[in-house]
Amino acid sequence: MLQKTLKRTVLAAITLVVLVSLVGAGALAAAEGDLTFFKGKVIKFIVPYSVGGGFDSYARAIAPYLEKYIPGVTVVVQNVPGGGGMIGINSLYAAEPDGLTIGIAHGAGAVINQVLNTPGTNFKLQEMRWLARVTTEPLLTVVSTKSAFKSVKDFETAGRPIVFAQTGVGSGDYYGSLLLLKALGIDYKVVAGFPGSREANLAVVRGEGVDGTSVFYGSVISLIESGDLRPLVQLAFTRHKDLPNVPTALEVVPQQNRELARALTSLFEIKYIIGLPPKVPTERVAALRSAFDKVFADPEFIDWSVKMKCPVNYMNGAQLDQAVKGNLESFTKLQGELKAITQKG
Amino acid sequence: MPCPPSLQEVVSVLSQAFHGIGALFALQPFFYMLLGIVVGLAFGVAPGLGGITAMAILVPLTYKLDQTSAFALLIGAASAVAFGGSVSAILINTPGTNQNVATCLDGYPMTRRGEGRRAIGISATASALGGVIGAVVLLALIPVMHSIVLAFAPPEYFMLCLLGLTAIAGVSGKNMLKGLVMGGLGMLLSFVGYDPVTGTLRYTFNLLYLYDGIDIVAAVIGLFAVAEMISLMVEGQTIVSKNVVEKPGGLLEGVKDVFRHWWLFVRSSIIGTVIGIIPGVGGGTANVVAYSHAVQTSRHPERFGTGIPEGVIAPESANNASFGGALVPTVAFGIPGSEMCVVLLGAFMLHGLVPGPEMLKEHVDLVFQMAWGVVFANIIASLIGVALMSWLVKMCSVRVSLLAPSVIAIALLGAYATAGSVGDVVVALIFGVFGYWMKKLDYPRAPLMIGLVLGNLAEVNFHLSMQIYGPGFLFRPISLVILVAILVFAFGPYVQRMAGARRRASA
Repeated sequence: MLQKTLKRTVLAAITLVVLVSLVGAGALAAAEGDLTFFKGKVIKFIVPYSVGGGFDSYARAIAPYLEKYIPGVTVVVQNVPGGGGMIGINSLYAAEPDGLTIGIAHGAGAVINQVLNTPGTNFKLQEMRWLARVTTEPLLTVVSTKSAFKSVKDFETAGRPIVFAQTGVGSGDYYGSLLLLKALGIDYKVVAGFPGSREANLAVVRGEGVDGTSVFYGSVISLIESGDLRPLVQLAFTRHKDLPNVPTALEVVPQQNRELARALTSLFEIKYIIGLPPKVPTERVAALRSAFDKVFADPEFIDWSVKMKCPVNYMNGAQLDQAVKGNLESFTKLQGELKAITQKG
Repeated sequence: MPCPPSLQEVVSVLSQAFHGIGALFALQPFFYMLLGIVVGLAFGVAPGLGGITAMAILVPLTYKLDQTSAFALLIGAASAVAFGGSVSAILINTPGTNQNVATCLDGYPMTRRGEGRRAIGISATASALGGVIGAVVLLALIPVMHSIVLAFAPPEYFMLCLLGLTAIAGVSGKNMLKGLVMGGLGMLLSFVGYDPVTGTLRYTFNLLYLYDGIDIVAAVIGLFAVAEMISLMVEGQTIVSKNVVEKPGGLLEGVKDVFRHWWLFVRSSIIGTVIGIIPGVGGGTANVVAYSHAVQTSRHPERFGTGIPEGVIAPESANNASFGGALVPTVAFGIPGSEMCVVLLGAFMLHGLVPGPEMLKEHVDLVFQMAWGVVFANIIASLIGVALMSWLVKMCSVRVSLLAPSVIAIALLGAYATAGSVGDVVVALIFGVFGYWMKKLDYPRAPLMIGLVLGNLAEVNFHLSMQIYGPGFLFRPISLVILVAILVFAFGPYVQRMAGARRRASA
């Protein structure tokens, strides 16, 4: 009897030890991530645009550092352009969920496309697993320095609709820019069809028939520094460190539009995001997330970003999952406003 | 308007200008320029890999280089790609880059006649000297860059497109109606995808691939390279048939051709430079517009497409000249004048340079170095290119059962490599079969190509002009000058003919 009890106790003890060590190892593996899986494998890094743009340069800059922090892996950047970036996100969404396909995406644009259910949208962002928010960049409303507009208030006293040059009709950036004008309460008119922000910027500098445009800070730094363009408002939660005198949209919008302005600001916080298709095993997601944590803390990578003026502003995957879901929810509520803008064109 | 510079300023700028040459010919920068040139030539000659890819790959390499060497490397590559690309256009009817689409039209027929080396000679000379003109304009414009860039607004751009489109009549050959049909079809195809003004999808048949429109390089690869190979296989011929004897001294003859058509060369280079200055477009548009211009101003437009030197001089001088022009807005505003300059702008950032007035004040020495770099890189690229590539002409005598499959493989790979899209390969194949039938039924292919390249650019800029300026945009000074030119080119020949007929009647 005693012997039996002893035997049982020993067995239980052994089981316990084994279990504890298994769980412990498991916990450790989950925290560190199962990086051994990636050894000798190839990670395909999808960029939904052609070579040479902003998304592409971030992906190409990140790739070697992923190789550095995931031992034995090869990261291959693959450009999958088309459909205004939609083909790339679709192919990321439909990729094998083994953790060997990751992709960078225009998160804000994708949210709007999904909410509006734009033809060609074959993805559900809330099902995907996100790895990193690369950067944030304020969307600015700019006018020519030769114009009389010194602040958003001046638009009201103009006594006529303010003419804005717009690019990429039908894209997420386009709808976002128009929603911003709406939130600011500006009586606007759109000159649409500029092939890109550079053409739109020049039209504003020229000052003939066009008052302003909405443009991301990175595309307009030199024109602001040269004194050709004047930013009146920035879409960001806090003022950008190089634009300390430009108010944020939240500071200047009328009270009734604060919710819209907040939703928009939060949307454009997730413009540059990296993610995985749905259903990737949790431990591989964790492994990749830990690798991204290290990449964005690497001094050499940060040095690159400073030199190239490609700022980084990292948000980790777990937080990003929440941010993507949050934006989907708030814009599903704002669907009506979006549709109104689509119809106004 | 900027006030005229004082004598002292002029002297100081001139001394800086010449100092730039010295800096460039130091051992290290010169080595990197040569390296850039070789990379550029290789990426040019390989279909699908163009200047953007070459530069995107080279920019990270400049991370640890000093400024002079870094930009010598990049300028070397950017200056060399267009000539490299012309070699594939001339020899196998496959544009090596989007800057060489028009070069196929006359370059390849020259090869078939056994004048491949002559065509390469023309391209080498026109490229080198065209590049020099672009750089000279860049140097000359440094003080007034700001106003020049602003002078070209959507109306001017629309008029330039229209000028190019009127050439459809000229390249239609004997059958005007067939030419116009093809030109119209080309324009129609260029409208596939998002409507740039309303964002509506047009002719996309729910195919996601078509949202971004039909890729021009893929279409041209199909229309010319694939179609040509199908036709050679059907005829069982080689590119250069056996009874054609390659004429000796071809290269030198090509060099002389450029000087024989000196005035056309100068005009094409200026067109190239101006198109380069317009933001967003570069050699890809410049070569087509210059070719159109050559047809319009020719006394024998019907001979274009049969393999005449003018048909190679115009596009190859314009595309190289466009790079110097494209540097103008890049340096003056930080607004890239062409796709290659987008990458170059990234390199500016990497080296802590902010384009704009400040760069023109504080780093004017570097701007001069870049301009000189364009001058020398263009000349050296042509010399190296001729030395490395003129033997490729021999390839064109290989029998068709070996040649055609290889060329088709290279061409399709090129279509794929441009964007990494299988859709582009499908487009190249469809246009290949289509191009073969066009050829067989004697429908000219050049109008289709011109319509495809310029149709949607004309549309966008027409809408922008109307929205911003209203119909009055036609009477802006530069627009008006181009409008007059269009009218002269379009109706000049008829007026002349009628006047001639009347004189004969009265005599």
